[in-house]
Amino acid sequence: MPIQRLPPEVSRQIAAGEVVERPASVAKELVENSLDAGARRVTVEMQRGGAERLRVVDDGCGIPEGELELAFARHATSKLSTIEDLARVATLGFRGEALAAIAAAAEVRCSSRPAEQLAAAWIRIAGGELLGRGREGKPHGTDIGMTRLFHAQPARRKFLRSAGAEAAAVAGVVTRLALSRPDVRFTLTSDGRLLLRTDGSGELRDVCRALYGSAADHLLPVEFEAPGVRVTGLVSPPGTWRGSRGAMTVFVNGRWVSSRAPLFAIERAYQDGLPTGQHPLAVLDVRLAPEEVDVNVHPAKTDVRFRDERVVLSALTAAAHSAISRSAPVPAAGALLSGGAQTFEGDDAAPLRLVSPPWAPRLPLEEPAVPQLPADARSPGEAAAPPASAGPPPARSANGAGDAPVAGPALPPLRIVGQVGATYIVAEGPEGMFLIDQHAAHERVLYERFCARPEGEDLQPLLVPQVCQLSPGASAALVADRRVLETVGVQADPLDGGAWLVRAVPAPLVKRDLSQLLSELGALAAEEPDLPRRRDRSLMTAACHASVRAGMSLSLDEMREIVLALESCRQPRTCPHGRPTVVHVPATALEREFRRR
Amino acid sequence: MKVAIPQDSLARALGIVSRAVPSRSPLPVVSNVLLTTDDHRLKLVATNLEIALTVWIGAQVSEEGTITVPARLFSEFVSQLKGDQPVQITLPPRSRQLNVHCGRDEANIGGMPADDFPVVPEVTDGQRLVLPARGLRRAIEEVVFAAARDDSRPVLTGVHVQVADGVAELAGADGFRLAVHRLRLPAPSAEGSPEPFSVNIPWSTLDHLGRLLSESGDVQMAVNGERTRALFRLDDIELVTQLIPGTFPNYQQLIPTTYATRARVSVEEFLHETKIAAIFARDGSGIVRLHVTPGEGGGPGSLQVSARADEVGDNRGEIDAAVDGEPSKIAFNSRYLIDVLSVLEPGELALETSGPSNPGVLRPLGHDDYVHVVMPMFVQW
Ligand SMILES: Nc1ncnc2c1ncn2[C@@H]1O[C@H](COP(=O)(O)OP(=O)(O)O)[C@@H](O)[C@H]1O
Ligand SMILES: [Mg+2]
Ligand SMILES: [Zn+2]
Repeated sequence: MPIQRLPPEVSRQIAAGEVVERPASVAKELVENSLDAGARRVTVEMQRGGAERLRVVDDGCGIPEGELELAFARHATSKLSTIEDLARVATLGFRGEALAAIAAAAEVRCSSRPAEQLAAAWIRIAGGELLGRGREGKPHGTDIGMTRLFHAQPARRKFLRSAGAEAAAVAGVVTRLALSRPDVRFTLTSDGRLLLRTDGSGELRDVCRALYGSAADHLLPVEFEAPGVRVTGLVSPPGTWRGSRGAMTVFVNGRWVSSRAPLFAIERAYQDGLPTGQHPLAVLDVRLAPEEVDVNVHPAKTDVRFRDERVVLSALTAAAHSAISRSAPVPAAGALLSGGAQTFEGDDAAPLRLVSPPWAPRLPLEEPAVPQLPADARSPGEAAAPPASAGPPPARSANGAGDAPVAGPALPPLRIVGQVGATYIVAEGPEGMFLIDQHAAHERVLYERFCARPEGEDLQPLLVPQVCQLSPGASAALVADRRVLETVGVQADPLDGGAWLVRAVPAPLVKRDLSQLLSELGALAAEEPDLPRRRDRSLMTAACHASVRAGMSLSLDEMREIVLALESCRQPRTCPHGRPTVVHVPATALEREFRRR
Repeated sequence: MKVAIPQDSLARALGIVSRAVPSRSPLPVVSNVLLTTDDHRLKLVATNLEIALTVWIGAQVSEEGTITVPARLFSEFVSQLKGDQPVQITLPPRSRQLNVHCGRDEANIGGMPADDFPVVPEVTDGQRLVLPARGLRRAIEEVVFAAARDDSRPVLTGVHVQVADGVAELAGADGFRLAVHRLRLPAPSAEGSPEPFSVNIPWSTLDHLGRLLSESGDVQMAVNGERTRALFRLDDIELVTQLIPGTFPNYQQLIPTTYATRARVSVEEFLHETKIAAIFARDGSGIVRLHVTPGEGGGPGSLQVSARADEVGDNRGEIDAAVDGEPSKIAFNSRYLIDVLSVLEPGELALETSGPSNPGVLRPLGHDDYVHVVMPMFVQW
């Protein structure tokens, strides 16, 4: 269909709105145009977060020379012409607004050549004015470059965030489009550095490998059908987690959905197997009849609306669930020795353990082999709540250890009794029993240490520098601003393709999951504009990663060390996030429970 | 099935194979041990799906048969039986109840069919080689501790074994340290020396193997053609393991070839002082500082080992050292020093350093078959 202006009765039906808010929205519109044009190869280049310059080159069908100017007119599109078409949009764009809006907000040069045209034709437009046109030699396809977004609208330019944050947003957009189209070869660079390259093999797993590294090899295939819905894609097996929902992506009919409800629906499939604060990896595409979906709600078009949301959500849960349970146990006899690693029976089971640890359960859909304390098993009655004598937890503060004197009473000297559920340390004090959340307590200890750490002290260089694979967004944010790394004391340099080479880490972070740490620091660099707050949050993140996790069984010595260190903390009663580290069960409460009084 | 076996050999065999039984498994049959008559022997197999252990013991077989029974239960029962009588094992045809009889004790143990038990894969058509048991045991001890325990870099959870020119070189590394042991192979047999090859063996497999090795004799090793599995055979025991795919880092280039300071010290004294310092280095970073001072006027030099922790205190200990080169200082994580010093044989070692930010090297004196490289920590001196 040639590009035409939409008749007014059609354009009126289309939700109006601003499509150009930031470089990421420009990237989205341009890349979607490339995909609509049947491109097999899309290259995105940005400079300084895309606000300075953003360029998208494709090998799609191109725009005929005669239609080039029209493409930049409002409501000019080649993708629909009648109201009936609107109900069955199959392309990503259809409003005919994007190019017009981009050309109004920035300077644009578009050079395009349909295969049957001998040369490419180009035009330059700025602020909606045609600045020039001509012809040039070029391979077929379209090359659109935008420079200096909002240069004539300082009020709007003010709303742009740091180059790192904008680059991360552009990378997020391109990442999602790459995930939605494994058959297209995507390349993304930022300030000349390669952030993402997919091979266009058509295999979603290959895209995931480019994004998530070797974790992609463990992802489970999802193939699910119910009346009216089909769900396909990949989800991670229990045990392969991320610290954020950043690696969870849901598409409906190929369009990314930004709302969180679908992500919760996927997580529900893991039931109790999902440790708190951990999230699976998932890339799922839900297919519905086009009539079931209303994409026409907002021009940014990520806010897809369904006729019946529950159908979609329960399909997602069921789809993920069936993939997980299918993968679960019983390797075929011949598949021996290819199964996952099992823990050996320890030669010296720690005698003091009160309850066997609920190892990060590998098979959440089965009953655990060993009875474990239910998460909410607390003694009944008053003993359950932190009793008054424990004092109110100190108010949550933004810069905990830096604070003036200790809030809340110091801890009394404690004697370690044992460990419950591989999560809580049981200790005895002068006035009864103390339960200590091992992770929260250790996190407090390390957080205060990180805060007090002199620059360059206790840095442990690696003998063999380690390569960490980050998402393009996290990597872009870190490239643009490395201060979070310096704060934490990680020495690392970017490589191509979102990878980082870590050369040294502070001692407490030795042997921790550095890829995940860097990803989270990258997310912080992108998200947290307030510098002191960012610094503090990165120290918290580092402390969280360095501390023992819930579910780790500890030796008596290890527990003693944590508790001793906690006793000398400035704010021993809460973790840096403000959760309690210690719960006190007074002797009197025990006596009352046992009716001794 | 009807078999009679001496109690002690059955108990020993069960003790060996049950080490492979996982404490928890998604596949219930895997917590069982497979019993099969094999000619005039009884074969016991257990697996955790990563390694499989097989032990053969001499037995009086009067009726062939096979079954799997819960490993823990069977093993505990047999180990309590009196040793003066043979253990009679009987499985009536088409039954799943194993009858175990010994003297005046008798038990019936519910089993599961042998067909459900995973098949232990063959390891054929690849490389073969013979290793001395005693040397291999030492090599394992000196290398396994350095392999990575976390799987952020899976290949480093393996010990790299490279066979070439009559030497098997074992290397373990976790990103912060590297341990390399060169194990001389027995003179090649009639078949000629083995083709060069290299594989990554999970550290946990070698840890198990190390416990099975005796002070004498040989171990036969085989690797399949695709290099996905390896087999170790010791007399009547076979261990089959999965191998770790991937390329092990080229570690030769990580071993410094020069030094600015070389201190010869006693392994035991160095370990002792490091353990004392570690008490004061417990603040999470475990920093132990070393100062090497050459002797003056022909006297012996010294190695000072010290630590300090805010709010705890500090300590200093000193041992004699024969020093070659300049005075030097370097800091290490106490854990790393203790790990390597604990596995070295008593005697002397040389600590070679080239400044506080370059890797330190430990070499036991008297045998040139081992080298340990460890990254120092950067500290405020
Ligand atoms: N990369 C491209 N390749 C081919 N044609 C394009 C490309 N980008 C834009 N066009 C043409 O320009 C028209 C207007 O684009 P746009 O303003 O984004 O509106 P829409 O995508 O909603 O149709 C499209 O309908 C299409 O015909
Ligand atoms: Mg468009
Ligand atoms: Zn935490």
